[in-house]
Amino acid sequence: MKQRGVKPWFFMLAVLIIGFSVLAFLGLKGTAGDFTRTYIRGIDDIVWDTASDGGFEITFTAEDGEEVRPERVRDAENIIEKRLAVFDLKSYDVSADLSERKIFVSAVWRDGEKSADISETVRDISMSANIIFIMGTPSSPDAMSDTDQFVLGGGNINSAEVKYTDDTHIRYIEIGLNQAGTQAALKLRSESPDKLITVWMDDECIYCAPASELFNEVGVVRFFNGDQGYSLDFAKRRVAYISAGALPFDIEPIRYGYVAQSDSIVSKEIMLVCAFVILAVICIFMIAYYKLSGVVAAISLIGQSAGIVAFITGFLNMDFIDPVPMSAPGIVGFMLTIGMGAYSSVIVNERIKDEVLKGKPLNSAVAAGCTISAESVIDGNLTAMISGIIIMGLSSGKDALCSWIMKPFFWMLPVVMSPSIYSLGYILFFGSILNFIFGVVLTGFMIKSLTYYEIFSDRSLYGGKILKEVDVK
Amino acid sequence: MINLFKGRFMSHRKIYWLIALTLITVGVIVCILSGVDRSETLSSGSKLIYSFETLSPSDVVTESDAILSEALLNETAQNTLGDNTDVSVSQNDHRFTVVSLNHKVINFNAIESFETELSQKLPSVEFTLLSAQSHDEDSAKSLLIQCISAIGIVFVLLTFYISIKYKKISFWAVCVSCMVSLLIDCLVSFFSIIFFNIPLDENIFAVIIAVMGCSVNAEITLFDSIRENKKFFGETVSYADIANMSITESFRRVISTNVCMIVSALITVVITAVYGAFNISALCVPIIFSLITCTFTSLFIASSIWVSLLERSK
Repeated sequence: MKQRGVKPWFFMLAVLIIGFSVLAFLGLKGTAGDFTRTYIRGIDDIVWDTASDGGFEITFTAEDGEEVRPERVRDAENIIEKRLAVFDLKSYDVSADLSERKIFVSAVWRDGEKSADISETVRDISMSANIIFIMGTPSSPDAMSDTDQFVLGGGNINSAEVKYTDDTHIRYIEIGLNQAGTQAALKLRSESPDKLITVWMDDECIYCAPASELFNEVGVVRFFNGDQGYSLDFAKRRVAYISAGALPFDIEPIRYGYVAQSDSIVSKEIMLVCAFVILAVICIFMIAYYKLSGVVAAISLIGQSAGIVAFITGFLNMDFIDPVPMSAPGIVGFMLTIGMGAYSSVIVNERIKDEVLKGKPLNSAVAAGCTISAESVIDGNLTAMISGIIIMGLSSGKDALCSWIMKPFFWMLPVVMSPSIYSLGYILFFGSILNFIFGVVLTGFMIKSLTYYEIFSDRSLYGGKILKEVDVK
Repeated sequence: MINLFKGRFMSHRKIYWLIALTLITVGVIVCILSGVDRSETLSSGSKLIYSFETLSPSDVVTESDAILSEALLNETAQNTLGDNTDVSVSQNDHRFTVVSLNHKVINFNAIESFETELSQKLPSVEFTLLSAQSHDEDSAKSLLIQCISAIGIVFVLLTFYISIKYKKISFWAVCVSCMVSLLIDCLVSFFSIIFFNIPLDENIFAVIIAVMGCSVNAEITLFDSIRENKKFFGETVSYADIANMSITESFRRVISTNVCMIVSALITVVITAVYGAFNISALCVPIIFSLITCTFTSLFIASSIWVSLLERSK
């Protein structure tokens, strides 16, 4: 039986929390034919870091300590990002530290794909990709003879795309030139149609053809690969390199970490098992020790865990919401946050228990317990949040808010990226906020609501001794 | 009134200090004896791990072959990757590790040359690069300084926050007691890493920072109780009695909360150890030791220092 005029907060909140948890853990996907669309990201959509899922983290800097202007570093960052877009990667991130002239690149291999050759990948990322067109056939652009002539450069290129011939559907590459480039191309086509033009990307000759064949009647460049055409992967990469442009300066890796997919896949599963076992054990402990309030605490802990998963995945599958890469320290962060959730529940329940044992009426005891414990829980979470901010500041080399906060402390030191610990700080920070919402606010609502039901008004259910009911009046 | 004070914790405060001092002394001795093992990220150098597989069934690697191949691998590594390289082969899991300690980054051209030369010398063996780590001296040094600075910053911020929060029960007494107990927690978690021979990297530092934020909760619980009792009893009761009473009140709360976190960490250690993911187990070691220590330091060291400082200033 329920007292009149009391809203069933417990049931409403419990249903909401469980519903939210199901969505956050399992996600929501729709299928249309062969195409699966994700509406809400679940555990399957967690992005793992390079150490857990296989991938690489590389810090590049200007070769031979060359002094580079910050805007050129930014240009190089954008070019590398465009290049990575065509690699077969699950996720990637490029950021630059303009003051230190460093570019941080991290990427995770796609699931089930064989890890790419890291040496080749680094060469692809760091190649200058300087395009030049030379009339003549020198052995390299540096070995041009007097008869060879520079015709066009990367600055004349406007666009590049993969195209197919209308009749035979052969895949080829088409390069659009700017006005000056088009005029030069048309002039060459009409004046020296049979002269060989070699196209160079750094020291590699990527194409060689007579001017009349290379440039079409409207001055567009076309690369063909015989009757079979280019493979899609090759064409996409080449187009990305040509359209992104050349790196404004030569770069070299000064720090790197690489993990092959085959060496990492096991720990990802273990981490998830760990997270669930920890959650289950703490929920069982709470229910066994605090009975009815323990059930409420367990629901809150499940909600809090779902909240953490939602923060990690981004919850809604939208382009502007980026998931945070999860790592082994992130799992430790999850474990600590759940431990903090248990801390909040213990504090709240112990306070309620104390008030119940003092002989206060149940409603007042619960209200007083929640109010008194709120301050301790906020303090506990604030200290964890401080640690979280410091860890996030320590781990991110880009212009992130936490790095900005940490700048006064680390101004004298060059930035070193350590992305694996970012998820630990992130989970600790947002987990603490969730801990307050679920562990204090919602738990308080739910326990208070339960006390209005006759069936749940037994004091022993809240940790108090079975006493004669104190007269509320 | 005195019957209320179930425990007489403050009469044994010298014992607590002695325990803390013994812990630190033992830790320092362990550090001196075993030395600090820094991972590649904090100590410049390179580490490459390869797996190998014989392509033909007749090419089973025997014990004598293993010695030969280790010598061969060493020679190849020194030719291509540099003089200060060392190769160790683990025949059981078909892996070998190349370590370079010349404080320079091994470039990818050198790795390619190494792989090419290896496949020429051992054509019947297939090599796969499983992981590669290479860090230059400047980055490693900067990261180490940043990690230590971050611990210092957290230390100062947490101490300052708690001191401000409980300034009513004496800013300086709370500040000093909090500082000492946090320092002991930090040191013990650091000693535990050394004791278990866990390589020190930025992940371990991050975990220590995280656990510092969580371990001060025990102090918050205790000082909350002290503040309440101080407010209730005023000057009628001695500082030692207030501390005794507060420890009795907060004892169960501190134990329950820390047990939850310790159990979580232990579960992680057990599961990861069963599956052989020792890199995650290693991260839980400082957490477990820090939480066990913080239970002791917050209840007995922080309170006893608080009482001693206030008694002296009286």
